[in-house]
Amino acid sequence: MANPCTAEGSRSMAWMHLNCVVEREERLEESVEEGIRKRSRLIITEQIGTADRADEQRVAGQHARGLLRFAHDDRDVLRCVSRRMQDLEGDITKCDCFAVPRLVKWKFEVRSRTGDDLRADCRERSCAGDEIRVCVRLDRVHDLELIPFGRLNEHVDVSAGIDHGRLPRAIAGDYVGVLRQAFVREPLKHEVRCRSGSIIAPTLIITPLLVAIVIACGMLAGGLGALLGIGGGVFLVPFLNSVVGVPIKIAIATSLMTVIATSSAVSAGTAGRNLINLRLGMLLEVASAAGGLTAGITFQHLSERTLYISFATVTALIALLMVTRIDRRNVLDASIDPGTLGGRYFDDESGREIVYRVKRLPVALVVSTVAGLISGALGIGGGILKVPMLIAWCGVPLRAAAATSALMIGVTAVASVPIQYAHGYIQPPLAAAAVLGVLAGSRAGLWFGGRAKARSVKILMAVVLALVSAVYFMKIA
Amino acid sequence: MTTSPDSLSVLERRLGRLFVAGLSVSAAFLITGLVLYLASPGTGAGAWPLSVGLMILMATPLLRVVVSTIEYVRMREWFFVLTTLAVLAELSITMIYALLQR
Repeated sequence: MANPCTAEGSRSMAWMHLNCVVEREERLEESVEEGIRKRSRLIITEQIGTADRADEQRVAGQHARGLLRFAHDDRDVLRCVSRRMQDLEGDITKCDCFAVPRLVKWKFEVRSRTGDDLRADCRERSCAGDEIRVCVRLDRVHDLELIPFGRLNEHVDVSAGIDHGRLPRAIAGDYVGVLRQAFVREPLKHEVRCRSGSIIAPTLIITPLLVAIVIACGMLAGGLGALLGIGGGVFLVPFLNSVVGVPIKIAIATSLMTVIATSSAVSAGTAGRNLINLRLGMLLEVASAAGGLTAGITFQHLSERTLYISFATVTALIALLMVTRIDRRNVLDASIDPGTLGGRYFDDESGREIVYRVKRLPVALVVSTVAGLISGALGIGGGILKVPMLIAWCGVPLRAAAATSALMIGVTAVASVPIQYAHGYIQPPLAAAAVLGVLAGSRAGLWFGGRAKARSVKILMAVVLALVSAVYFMKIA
Repeated sequence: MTTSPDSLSVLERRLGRLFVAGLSVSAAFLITGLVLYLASPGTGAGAWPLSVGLMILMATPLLRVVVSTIEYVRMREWFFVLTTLAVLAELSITMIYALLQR
Protein backbone atom coordinates (compact mmCIF):
# COMPACT_ATOMS: atom_id res chain seq x y z
CA MET A 1 0.00 0.00 0.00
CA ALA A 2 1.55 3.16 -1.01
CA ASN A 3 1.70 6.07 1.28
CA PRO A 4 -0.14 9.05 -0.23
CA CYS A 5 2.43 11.31 1.26
CA THR A 6 5.07 9.69 -0.87
CA ALA A 7 3.55 11.09 -3.99
CA GLU A 8 3.44 14.57 -2.54
CA GLY A 9 7.03 14.25 -1.43
CA SER A 10 8.10 13.13 -4.82
CA ARG A 11 6.43 16.08 -6.51
CA SER A 12 7.96 18.54 -4.09
CA MET A 13 11.37 17.15 -4.78
CA ALA A 14 10.80 17.63 -8.47
CA TRP A 15 9.90 21.28 -8.03
CA MET A 16 12.85 21.84 -5.78
CA HIS A 17 15.05 20.39 -8.45
CA LEU A 18 13.58 22.71 -11.05
CA ASN A 19 14.02 25.69 -8.78
CA CYS A 20 17.69 24.90 -8.58
CA VAL A 21 17.78 24.73 -12.34
CA VAL A 22 16.10 28.08 -12.66
CA GLU A 23 18.58 29.68 -10.28
CA ARG A 24 21.44 28.37 -12.34
CA GLU A 25 19.70 29.48 -15.47
CA GLU A 26 19.45 33.06 -14.26
CA ARG A 27 23.22 33.27 -14.04
CA LEU A 28 23.49 31.69 -17.45
CA GLU A 29 20.96 34.10 -18.81
CA GLU A 30 23.07 37.07 -17.76
CA SER A 31 26.14 35.71 -19.48
CA VAL A 32 24.19 34.84 -22.62
CA GLU A 33 22.64 38.29 -22.77
CA GLU A 34 26.04 39.88 -22.42
CA GLY A 35 27.41 37.73 -25.21
CA ILE A 36 24.52 38.52 -27.47
CA ARG A 37 24.84 42.23 -26.86
CA LYS A 38 28.47 42.13 -27.86
CA ARG A 39 27.94 39.97 -30.88
CA SER A 40 25.06 41.48 -32.71
CA ARG A 41 23.94 44.90 -33.59
CA LEU A 42 20.21 44.40 -33.47
CA ILE A 43 18.76 41.54 -31.55
CA ILE A 44 15.25 41.38 -30.30
CA THR A 45 14.61 39.02 -27.47
CA GLU A 46 11.64 38.22 -25.38
CA GLN A 47 11.01 35.67 -22.79
CA ILE A 48 8.11 34.36 -20.84
CA GLY A 49 8.63 34.58 -17.15
CA THR A 50 6.06 32.31 -15.75
CA ALA A 51 5.39 28.67 -15.25
CA ASP A 52 1.71 29.19 -14.84
CA ARG A 53 -0.65 28.59 -17.74
CA ALA A 54 -2.92 31.50 -16.88
CA ASP A 55 0.00 33.84 -16.66
CA GLU A 56 1.39 32.55 -19.88
CA GLN A 57 -1.86 33.17 -21.68
CA ARG A 58 -1.96 36.65 -20.23
CA VAL A 59 1.53 37.37 -21.46
CA ALA A 60 0.77 35.90 -24.83
CA GLY A 61 -2.34 38.05 -25.04
CA GLN A 62 -0.37 41.18 -24.34
CA HIS A 63 2.07 40.32 -27.08
CA ALA A 64 -0.22 39.83 -29.99
CA ARG A 65 2.67 39.30 -32.34
CA GLY A 66 3.81 36.01 -30.96
CA LEU A 67 6.82 34.68 -32.70
CA LEU A 68 7.00 31.03 -31.91
CA ARG A 69 4.82 28.30 -30.74
CA PHE A 70 6.43 25.11 -29.68
CA ALA A 71 4.55 21.97 -30.26
CA HIS A 72 5.33 18.75 -28.56
CA ASP A 73 6.32 17.31 -31.90
CA ASP A 74 9.87 18.55 -32.22
CA ARG A 75 9.90 18.23 -35.97
CA ASP A 76 7.21 20.85 -36.23
CA VAL A 77 9.25 23.49 -34.53
CA LEU A 78 10.94 24.94 -37.55
CA ARG A 79 7.77 24.85 -39.58
CA CYS A 80 6.11 26.82 -36.82
CA VAL A 81 8.90 29.33 -36.82
CA SER A 82 8.63 29.82 -40.51
CA ARG A 83 4.91 30.30 -40.45
CA ARG A 84 4.94 32.69 -37.57
CA MET A 85 7.67 34.75 -39.13
CA GLN A 86 5.58 35.19 -42.23
CA ASP A 87 2.77 36.45 -40.06
CA LEU A 88 5.08 39.15 -38.81
CA GLU A 89 5.68 40.66 -42.21
CA GLY A 90 5.00 44.31 -42.14
CA ASP A 91 5.19 44.63 -38.40
CA ILE A 92 8.81 44.32 -37.42
CA THR A 93 10.35 47.50 -36.19
CA LYS A 94 13.00 48.22 -33.66
CA CYS A 95 10.52 48.67 -30.86
CA ASP A 96 8.75 45.39 -31.35
CA CYS A 97 9.34 42.66 -28.87
CA PHE A 98 8.52 39.10 -29.52
CA ALA A 99 6.59 37.04 -27.09
CA VAL A 100 7.25 33.36 -27.03
CA PRO A 101 4.12 31.62 -25.94
CA ARG A 102 4.84 27.95 -25.99
CA LEU A 103 3.49 24.68 -24.97
CA VAL A 104 5.71 21.76 -24.31
CA LYS A 105 4.90 18.26 -23.60
CA TRP A 106 6.23 17.79 -20.17
CA LYS A 107 6.85 14.26 -19.15
CA PHE A 108 6.60 13.72 -15.48
CA GLU A 109 5.62 10.98 -13.12
CA VAL A 110 2.43 10.66 -11.19
CA ARG A 111 2.00 8.15 -8.47
CA SER A 112 -1.53 6.91 -8.12
CA ARG A 113 -3.10 7.30 -4.75
CA THR A 114 -5.03 4.08 -5.07
CA GLY A 115 -2.53 1.87 -6.77
CA ASP A 116 0.91 0.71 -5.82
CA ASP A 117 2.39 1.04 -9.25
CA LEU A 118 4.19 3.91 -10.89
CA ARG A 119 3.05 5.04 -14.25
CA ALA A 120 4.42 7.64 -16.52
CA ASP A 121 2.13 10.29 -17.82
CA CYS A 122 2.60 12.84 -20.46
CA ARG A 123 0.73 16.07 -20.14
CA GLU A 124 0.82 19.24 -22.04
CA ARG A 125 1.90 21.97 -19.71
CA SER A 126 3.22 25.41 -19.95
CA CYS A 127 6.82 25.65 -19.04
CA ALA A 128 8.67 28.41 -17.32
CA GLY A 129 9.39 30.93 -20.00
CA ASP A 130 12.68 32.02 -18.59
CA GLU A 131 14.00 28.67 -19.61
CA ILE A 132 13.73 29.60 -23.27
CA ARG A 133 15.46 32.30 -25.16
CA VAL A 134 14.52 33.29 -28.66
CA CYS A 135 16.80 35.54 -30.58
CA VAL A 136 15.72 37.26 -33.76
CA ARG A 137 18.54 38.88 -35.56
CA LEU A 138 17.91 41.39 -38.32
CA ASP A 139 21.00 41.38 -40.43
CA ARG A 140 21.79 43.93 -43.09
CA VAL A 141 19.47 46.46 -41.56
CA HIS A 142 20.62 50.01 -42.06
CA ASP A 143 22.00 50.33 -38.61
CA LEU A 144 22.20 53.80 -37.15
CA GLU A 145 20.18 55.22 -39.95
CA LEU A 146 17.16 57.37 -39.65
CA ILE A 147 13.97 56.81 -41.56
CA PRO A 148 12.19 60.03 -40.66
CA PHE A 149 9.48 59.60 -43.22
CA GLY A 150 8.74 57.72 -46.31
CA ARG A 151 8.80 54.00 -46.69
CA LEU A 152 11.61 51.51 -46.63
CA ASN A 153 11.27 48.01 -47.92
CA GLU A 154 14.22 46.10 -46.64
CA HIS A 155 14.96 42.47 -47.29
CA VAL A 156 16.75 41.02 -44.33
CA ASP A 157 17.84 37.67 -43.07
CA VAL A 158 15.98 36.77 -39.92
CA SER A 159 17.47 34.02 -37.87
CA ALA A 160 15.35 32.42 -35.21
CA GLY A 161 17.30 30.48 -32.65
CA ILE A 162 16.66 28.86 -29.34
CA ASP A 163 19.06 28.78 -26.47
CA HIS A 164 19.28 25.02 -26.35
CA GLY A 165 21.27 24.82 -23.18
CA ARG A 166 18.46 26.20 -21.09
CA LEU A 167 15.39 24.50 -22.45
CA PRO A 168 16.13 20.79 -22.17
CA ARG A 169 17.29 20.78 -18.60
CA ALA A 170 14.14 22.50 -17.52
CA ILE A 171 11.85 19.99 -19.16
CA ALA A 172 12.97 16.47 -18.95
CA GLY A 173 16.20 14.69 -19.46
CA ASP A 174 14.75 12.34 -22.03
CA TYR A 175 14.04 15.18 -24.39
CA VAL A 176 17.45 16.76 -24.31
CA GLY A 177 18.96 15.02 -27.27
CA VAL A 178 15.90 15.43 -29.46
CA LEU A 179 15.46 19.09 -28.69
CA ARG A 180 19.08 19.90 -29.30
CA GLN A 181 18.76 18.50 -32.77
CA ALA A 182 15.49 20.18 -33.54
CA PHE A 183 16.28 23.71 -32.45
CA VAL A 184 18.90 24.54 -34.97
CA ARG A 185 19.36 28.10 -36.06
CA GLU A 186 17.80 28.59 -39.42
CA PRO A 187 18.01 31.80 -41.39
CA LEU A 188 14.76 32.81 -43.00
CA LYS A 189 14.46 35.28 -45.82
CA HIS A 190 12.11 37.90 -44.62
CA GLU A 191 10.98 41.31 -45.64
CA VAL A 192 10.79 44.05 -43.08
CA ARG A 193 8.57 46.90 -44.05
CA CYS A 194 9.08 50.03 -42.05
CA ARG A 195 6.08 52.23 -42.24
CA SER A 196 5.92 55.98 -42.35
CA GLY A 197 7.45 57.58 -39.32
CA SER A 198 9.24 54.52 -38.10
CA ILE A 199 12.83 54.72 -37.03
CA ILE A 200 14.88 51.56 -37.21
CA ALA A 201 17.97 52.92 -35.53
CA PRO A 202 19.00 55.67 -33.16
CA THR A 203 18.87 59.08 -34.75
CA LEU A 204 21.88 61.29 -34.99
CA ILE A 205 21.68 63.81 -32.15
CA ILE A 206 22.42 67.17 -33.69
CA THR A 207 23.92 69.50 -31.13
CA PRO A 208 25.17 73.07 -31.62
CA LEU A 209 28.71 71.72 -31.42
CA LEU A 210 28.05 69.21 -34.19
CA VAL A 211 26.45 71.94 -36.30
CA ALA A 212 29.53 74.12 -35.79
CA ILE A 213 31.83 71.25 -36.76
CA VAL A 214 29.82 70.43 -39.86
CA ILE A 215 29.71 74.10 -40.91
CA ALA A 216 33.50 74.35 -40.54
CA CYS A 217 33.98 71.17 -42.52
CA GLY A 218 31.55 72.43 -45.16
CA MET A 219 33.59 75.62 -45.49
CA LEU A 220 36.78 73.64 -46.06
CA ALA A 221 35.12 71.22 -48.46
CA GLY A 222 33.33 74.02 -50.30
CA GLY A 223 36.53 76.00 -50.64
CA LEU A 224 38.47 73.09 -52.09
CA GLY A 225 35.50 72.07 -54.23
CA ALA A 226 35.15 75.56 -55.71
CA LEU A 227 38.89 75.83 -56.27
CA LEU A 228 39.02 72.54 -58.15
CA GLY A 229 35.53 72.69 -59.72
CA ILE A 230 34.62 69.26 -58.40
CA GLY A 231 32.22 70.13 -55.59
CA GLY A 232 33.10 69.56 -51.98
CA GLY A 233 31.62 66.10 -51.72
CA VAL A 234 34.86 64.22 -52.12
CA PHE A 235 36.09 65.85 -48.92
CA LEU A 236 32.80 66.09 -47.05
CA VAL A 237 31.77 62.43 -47.30
CA PRO A 238 34.91 61.02 -45.64
CA PHE A 239 34.81 63.70 -42.99
CA LEU A 240 31.16 63.16 -42.05
CA ASN A 241 31.52 59.40 -42.23
CA SER A 242 34.93 58.81 -40.70
CA VAL A 243 35.31 61.72 -38.27
CA VAL A 244 31.77 62.67 -37.21
CA GLY A 245 30.44 59.11 -37.47
CA VAL A 246 27.48 59.82 -39.74
CA PRO A 247 26.32 56.66 -41.58
CA ILE A 248 27.79 56.54 -45.05
CA LYS A 249 24.48 56.83 -46.93
CA ILE A 250 23.37 59.87 -44.94
CA ALA A 251 26.83 61.38 -45.48
CA ILE A 252 26.53 60.77 -49.22
CA ALA A 253 23.06 62.29 -49.48
CA THR A 254 24.09 65.30 -47.37
CA SER A 255 27.13 65.74 -49.55
CA LEU A 256 25.01 65.68 -52.69
CA MET A 257 22.97 68.53 -51.27
CA THR A 258 26.17 70.55 -50.76
CA VAL A 259 27.24 69.72 -54.31
CA ILE A 260 24.14 71.55 -55.53
CA ALA A 261 25.05 74.53 -53.35
CA THR A 262 28.65 74.51 -54.62
CA SER A 263 27.45 74.29 -58.19
CA SER A 264 25.13 77.26 -57.85
CA ALA A 265 27.64 79.36 -55.91
CA VAL A 266 30.55 78.72 -58.26
CA SER A 267 28.42 79.20 -61.37
CA ALA A 268 27.13 82.49 -59.97
CA GLY A 269 30.73 83.56 -59.27
CA THR A 270 32.11 82.67 -62.68
CA ALA A 271 29.11 83.82 -64.73
CA GLY A 272 29.92 86.55 -67.22
CA ARG A 273 33.60 85.66 -67.59
CA ASN A 274 33.03 83.23 -70.48
CA LEU A 275 34.63 80.46 -68.46
CA ILE A 276 31.46 78.34 -68.47
CA ASN A 277 30.93 76.44 -71.69
CA LEU A 278 27.12 76.44 -71.69
CA ARG A 279 26.69 74.39 -74.86
CA LEU A 280 29.14 71.68 -73.91
CA GLY A 281 27.81 71.63 -70.37
CA MET A 282 24.20 71.19 -71.44
CA LEU A 283 25.09 68.46 -73.91
CA LEU A 284 27.04 66.50 -71.34
CA GLU A 285 24.27 67.00 -68.77
CA VAL A 286 22.01 64.73 -70.81
CA ALA A 287 24.43 61.90 -70.12
CA SER A 288 25.35 62.79 -66.54
CA ALA A 289 21.71 63.31 -65.48
CA ALA A 290 20.87 59.86 -66.88
CA GLY A 291 23.67 58.42 -64.79
CA GLY A 292 22.52 60.35 -61.73
CA LEU A 293 18.96 59.15 -62.15
CA THR A 294 20.11 55.54 -62.41
CA ALA A 295 22.25 55.93 -59.30
CA GLY A 296 19.40 57.52 -57.39
CA ILE A 297 17.10 54.61 -58.11
CA THR A 298 19.69 51.94 -57.25
CA PHE A 299 21.31 53.77 -54.32
CA GLN A 300 19.31 52.14 -51.55
CA HIS A 301 20.27 48.68 -52.78
CA LEU A 302 24.03 49.28 -52.64
CA SER A 303 25.91 47.87 -49.66
CA GLU A 304 28.23 50.03 -47.60
CA ARG A 305 31.23 47.90 -48.55
CA THR A 306 30.46 48.41 -52.24
CA LEU A 307 30.35 52.15 -51.65
CA TYR A 308 33.65 52.13 -49.77
CA ILE A 309 35.40 50.12 -52.47
CA SER A 310 33.98 52.33 -55.23
CA PHE A 311 34.97 55.50 -53.40
CA ALA A 312 38.53 54.34 -52.78
CA THR A 313 39.05 53.06 -56.32
CA VAL A 314 37.61 56.08 -58.10
CA THR A 315 39.58 58.63 -56.07
CA ALA A 316 42.82 56.66 -56.56
CA LEU A 317 42.33 56.50 -60.33
CA ILE A 318 41.55 60.20 -60.62
CA ALA A 319 44.60 61.11 -58.53
CA LEU A 320 46.74 59.02 -60.84
CA LEU A 321 45.21 60.65 -63.92
CA MET A 322 45.86 64.14 -62.57
CA VAL A 323 49.50 63.35 -61.81
CA THR A 324 50.09 62.21 -65.39
CA ARG A 325 48.60 65.43 -66.77
CA ILE A 326 50.13 68.05 -64.51
CA ASP A 327 52.10 69.86 -67.21
CA ARG A 328 49.61 69.39 -70.05
CA ARG A 329 48.11 72.67 -71.39
CA ASN A 330 45.02 72.56 -73.62
CA VAL A 331 45.53 75.95 -75.21
CA LEU A 332 45.43 76.81 -78.90
CA ASP A 333 46.46 79.89 -80.84
CA ALA A 334 44.01 82.76 -80.33
CA SER A 335 43.31 83.05 -84.06
CA ILE A 336 41.89 79.52 -84.31
CA ASP A 337 38.10 79.06 -84.51
CA PRO A 338 36.96 77.16 -81.40
CA GLY A 339 34.01 75.55 -83.22
CA THR A 340 30.46 75.07 -81.96
CA LEU A 341 31.36 73.40 -78.67
CA GLY A 342 34.68 75.11 -78.04
CA GLY A 343 35.23 78.42 -76.34
CA ARG A 344 37.47 81.35 -75.59
CA TYR A 345 38.08 83.37 -72.44
CA PHE A 346 40.59 85.76 -70.94
CA ASP A 347 43.01 84.06 -68.55
CA ASP A 348 44.14 86.15 -65.57
CA GLU A 349 47.13 83.90 -64.87
CA SER A 350 48.73 84.22 -68.31
CA GLY A 351 47.21 87.62 -69.17
CA ARG A 352 46.00 86.52 -72.62
CA GLU A 353 42.99 85.12 -74.42
CA ILE A 354 42.67 81.34 -74.30
CA VAL A 355 41.04 79.44 -77.17
CA TYR A 356 40.19 75.75 -77.10
CA ARG A 357 38.32 73.16 -79.13
CA VAL A 358 36.44 70.19 -77.79
CA LYS A 359 37.76 66.82 -78.90
CA ARG A 360 36.48 63.25 -78.46
CA LEU A 361 32.87 64.16 -77.67
CA PRO A 362 31.65 60.52 -77.57
CA VAL A 363 34.26 59.79 -74.90
CA ALA A 364 33.04 62.83 -72.96
CA LEU A 365 29.44 61.56 -73.13
CA VAL A 366 30.40 58.11 -71.86
CA VAL A 367 32.53 59.53 -69.05
CA SER A 368 29.72 61.95 -68.12
CA THR A 369 27.31 59.05 -67.75
CA VAL A 370 29.77 57.26 -65.48
CA ALA A 371 30.33 60.53 -63.61
CA GLY A 372 26.59 60.83 -63.04
CA LEU A 373 26.46 57.30 -61.68
CA ILE A 374 29.37 57.94 -59.34
CA SER A 375 27.93 61.28 -58.30
CA GLY A 376 24.59 59.79 -57.29
CA ALA A 377 26.08 56.71 -55.65
CA LEU A 378 28.99 58.31 -53.79
CA GLY A 379 27.78 61.89 -53.31
CA ILE A 380 31.02 63.35 -54.55
CA GLY A 381 29.76 65.36 -57.49
CA GLY A 382 30.51 64.25 -61.00
CA GLY A 383 33.18 66.90 -61.33
CA ILE A 384 35.77 64.59 -59.90
CA LEU A 385 35.61 62.66 -63.16
CA LYS A 386 34.50 65.36 -65.54
CA VAL A 387 37.24 67.90 -64.83
CA PRO A 388 40.14 65.48 -65.42
CA MET A 389 38.31 64.01 -68.41
CA LEU A 390 37.70 67.41 -70.00
CA ILE A 391 41.32 68.38 -69.40
CA ALA A 392 43.01 65.13 -70.38
CA TRP A 393 40.87 63.81 -73.24
CA CYS A 394 38.68 66.61 -74.55
CA GLY A 395 41.17 69.45 -74.84
CA VAL A 396 39.45 71.85 -72.45
CA PRO A 397 41.75 74.07 -70.30
CA LEU A 398 41.61 73.65 -66.53
CA ARG A 399 39.68 76.82 -65.67
CA ALA A 400 37.05 76.32 -68.36
CA ALA A 401 36.75 72.64 -67.41
CA ALA A 402 36.32 73.51 -63.73
CA ALA A 403 33.70 76.20 -64.42
CA THR A 404 31.75 74.03 -66.86
CA SER A 405 31.92 71.07 -64.52
CA ALA A 406 30.72 73.21 -61.61
CA LEU A 407 27.66 74.15 -63.64
CA MET A 408 26.95 70.53 -64.53
CA ILE A 409 27.35 68.92 -61.12
CA GLY A 410 24.30 70.75 -59.77
CA VAL A 411 21.96 69.23 -62.34
CA THR A 412 23.66 65.84 -61.97
CA ALA A 413 23.04 65.94 -58.22
CA VAL A 414 19.43 67.04 -58.67
CA ALA A 415 18.91 63.95 -60.84
CA SER A 416 19.41 61.72 -57.81
CA VAL A 417 19.15 63.64 -54.52
CA PRO A 418 15.32 64.00 -54.48
CA ILE A 419 15.07 60.21 -54.49
CA GLN A 420 17.47 59.98 -51.56
CA TYR A 421 15.48 62.71 -49.83
CA ALA A 422 12.32 60.68 -50.30
CA HIS A 423 14.04 57.60 -48.88
CA GLY A 424 14.95 59.54 -45.75
CA TYR A 425 18.69 59.80 -46.24
CA ILE A 426 18.63 63.58 -45.81
CA GLN A 427 18.62 64.93 -42.26
CA PRO A 428 17.55 68.56 -42.80
CA PRO A 429 19.49 70.17 -39.90
CA LEU A 430 22.66 68.32 -40.85
CA ALA A 431 22.21 69.12 -44.54
CA ALA A 432 21.49 72.77 -43.75
CA ALA A 433 24.68 73.09 -41.68
CA ALA A 434 26.75 71.48 -44.40
CA VAL A 435 25.18 73.61 -47.15
CA LEU A 436 25.71 76.87 -45.25
CA GLY A 437 29.33 75.94 -44.62
CA VAL A 438 29.88 75.06 -48.24
CA LEU A 439 28.32 78.33 -49.41
CA ALA A 440 30.74 80.29 -47.24
CA GLY A 441 33.73 78.17 -48.24
CA SER A 442 33.03 78.24 -51.96
CA ARG A 443 33.38 82.04 -52.04
CA ALA A 444 36.87 81.70 -50.62
CA GLY A 445 37.61 78.91 -53.08
CA LEU A 446 36.55 81.10 -55.99
CA TRP A 447 38.80 83.91 -54.79
CA PHE A 448 41.80 81.59 -54.54
CA GLY A 449 40.90 79.87 -57.79
CA GLY A 450 41.35 83.07 -59.75
CA ARG A 451 44.87 83.52 -58.39
CA ALA A 452 46.33 80.06 -57.94
CA LYS A 453 48.53 78.53 -60.62
CA ALA A 454 46.92 75.73 -62.62
CA ARG A 455 49.84 73.42 -61.90
CA SER A 456 49.51 73.93 -58.14
CA VAL A 457 45.76 73.27 -58.31
CA LYS A 458 46.35 69.99 -60.14
CA ILE A 459 48.98 68.85 -57.63
CA LEU A 460 46.73 69.80 -54.71
CA MET A 461 43.84 67.87 -56.23
CA ALA A 462 45.98 64.77 -56.82
CA VAL A 463 47.36 64.80 -53.26
CA VAL A 464 43.95 65.25 -51.64
CA LEU A 465 42.39 62.50 -53.75
CA ALA A 466 45.24 60.12 -52.95
CA LEU A 467 44.77 60.76 -49.23
CA VAL A 468 41.01 60.21 -49.42
CA SER A 469 41.56 57.02 -51.38
CA ALA A 470 44.06 55.76 -48.79
CA VAL A 471 41.59 56.43 -45.96
CA TYR A 472 38.88 54.38 -47.64
CA PHE A 473 41.22 51.53 -48.59
CA MET A 474 42.13 51.35 -44.90
CA LYS A 475 38.44 51.26 -43.97
CA ILE A 476 37.90 48.32 -46.34
CA ALA A 477 40.88 46.50 -44.90
CA MET B 1 24.21 77.52 -84.31
CA THR B 2 24.48 81.16 -85.32
CA THR B 3 24.42 82.55 -81.83
CA SER B 4 27.08 85.12 -81.10
CA PRO B 5 29.32 84.77 -78.06
CA ASP B 6 27.64 87.89 -76.68
CA SER B 7 24.27 86.13 -76.55
CA LEU B 8 25.82 83.29 -74.59
CA SER B 9 27.45 85.80 -72.25
CA VAL B 10 24.06 87.40 -71.64
CA LEU B 11 22.57 83.98 -70.91
CA GLU B 12 25.48 83.22 -68.61
CA ARG B 13 24.93 86.42 -66.63
CA ARG B 14 21.20 85.79 -66.47
CA LEU B 15 21.81 82.32 -65.09
CA GLY B 16 24.28 83.81 -62.63
CA ARG B 17 21.58 86.11 -61.27
CA LEU B 18 19.20 83.16 -61.00
CA PHE B 19 21.78 81.23 -58.97
CA VAL B 20 22.36 84.19 -56.65
CA ALA B 21 18.62 84.62 -56.07
CA GLY B 22 18.05 80.89 -55.48
CA LEU B 23 20.97 80.60 -53.10
CA SER B 24 20.02 83.72 -51.16
CA VAL B 25 16.43 82.63 -50.55
CA SER B 26 17.51 79.08 -49.79
CA ALA B 27 20.20 80.21 -47.35
CA ALA B 28 17.74 82.52 -45.57
CA PHE B 29 15.33 79.63 -45.00
CA LEU B 30 18.13 77.27 -43.95
CA ILE B 31 19.58 79.73 -41.43
CA THR B 32 16.13 80.42 -39.98
CA GLY B 33 15.34 76.72 -39.74
CA LEU B 34 18.67 75.83 -38.20
CA VAL B 35 18.40 78.58 -35.58
CA LEU B 36 14.86 77.50 -34.66
CA TYR B 37 15.95 73.87 -34.53
CA LEU B 38 18.87 74.59 -32.22
CA ALA B 39 16.83 77.00 -30.08
CA SER B 40 14.26 74.37 -29.20
CA PRO B 41 15.66 70.93 -29.95
CA GLY B 42 13.31 67.98 -30.05
CA THR B 43 10.17 70.03 -30.65
CA GLY B 44 10.21 69.90 -34.42
CA ALA B 45 10.68 73.66 -34.62
CA GLY B 46 12.44 74.77 -37.74
CA ALA B 47 11.40 71.71 -39.72
CA TRP B 48 9.43 73.49 -42.40
CA PRO B 49 11.94 76.33 -43.05
CA LEU B 50 14.65 73.70 -43.37
CA SER B 51 12.56 71.68 -45.81
CA VAL B 52 11.62 74.76 -47.85
CA GLY B 53 15.26 75.87 -47.95
CA LEU B 54 16.42 72.48 -49.21
CA MET B 55 13.59 72.38 -51.78
CA ILE B 56 14.57 75.80 -53.15
CA LEU B 57 18.19 74.67 -53.28
CA MET B 58 17.21 71.62 -55.33
CA ALA B 59 14.89 73.66 -57.54
CA THR B 60 17.58 76.18 -58.53
CA PRO B 61 19.45 73.97 -61.05
CA LEU B 62 16.10 72.81 -62.37
CA LEU B 63 15.08 76.41 -62.98
CA ARG B 64 18.40 76.98 -64.68
CA VAL B 65 17.56 74.28 -67.22
CA VAL B 66 14.10 75.79 -67.77
CA VAL B 67 15.58 79.27 -68.34
CA SER B 68 18.19 77.79 -70.69
CA THR B 69 15.46 76.07 -72.71
CA ILE B 70 13.57 79.33 -73.10
CA GLU B 71 16.72 81.20 -74.08
CA TYR B 72 17.74 78.58 -76.65
CA VAL B 73 14.26 78.78 -78.16
CA ARG B 74 14.67 82.55 -78.45
CA MET B 75 18.10 82.03 -80.05
CA ARG B 76 16.58 79.39 -82.39
CA GLU B 77 19.27 76.91 -81.43
CA TRP B 78 17.05 73.90 -81.89
CA PHE B 79 19.69 71.29 -81.18
CA PHE B 80 20.28 72.77 -77.74
CA VAL B 81 16.54 73.20 -77.21
CA LEU B 82 16.26 69.44 -77.63
CA THR B 83 19.21 68.92 -75.34
CA THR B 84 17.72 70.99 -72.54
CA LEU B 85 14.35 69.30 -73.01
CA ALA B 86 16.03 65.91 -72.64
CA VAL B 87 17.62 67.04 -69.37
CA LEU B 88 14.27 68.39 -68.18
CA ALA B 89 12.63 65.05 -68.99
CA GLU B 90 15.25 63.20 -66.93
CA LEU B 91 14.81 65.53 -63.98
CA SER B 92 11.03 65.15 -64.24
CA ILE B 93 11.42 61.37 -64.00
CA THR B 94 13.50 61.87 -60.87
CA MET B 95 10.84 64.08 -59.27
CA ILE B 96 8.01 61.71 -60.13
CA TYR B 97 9.96 58.71 -58.87
CA ALA B 98 10.78 60.54 -55.63
CA LEU B 99 7.15 61.48 -55.10
CA LEU B 100 6.09 57.88 -55.64
CA GLN B 101 8.56 56.74 -53.00
CA ARG B 102 7.03 58.92 -50.28
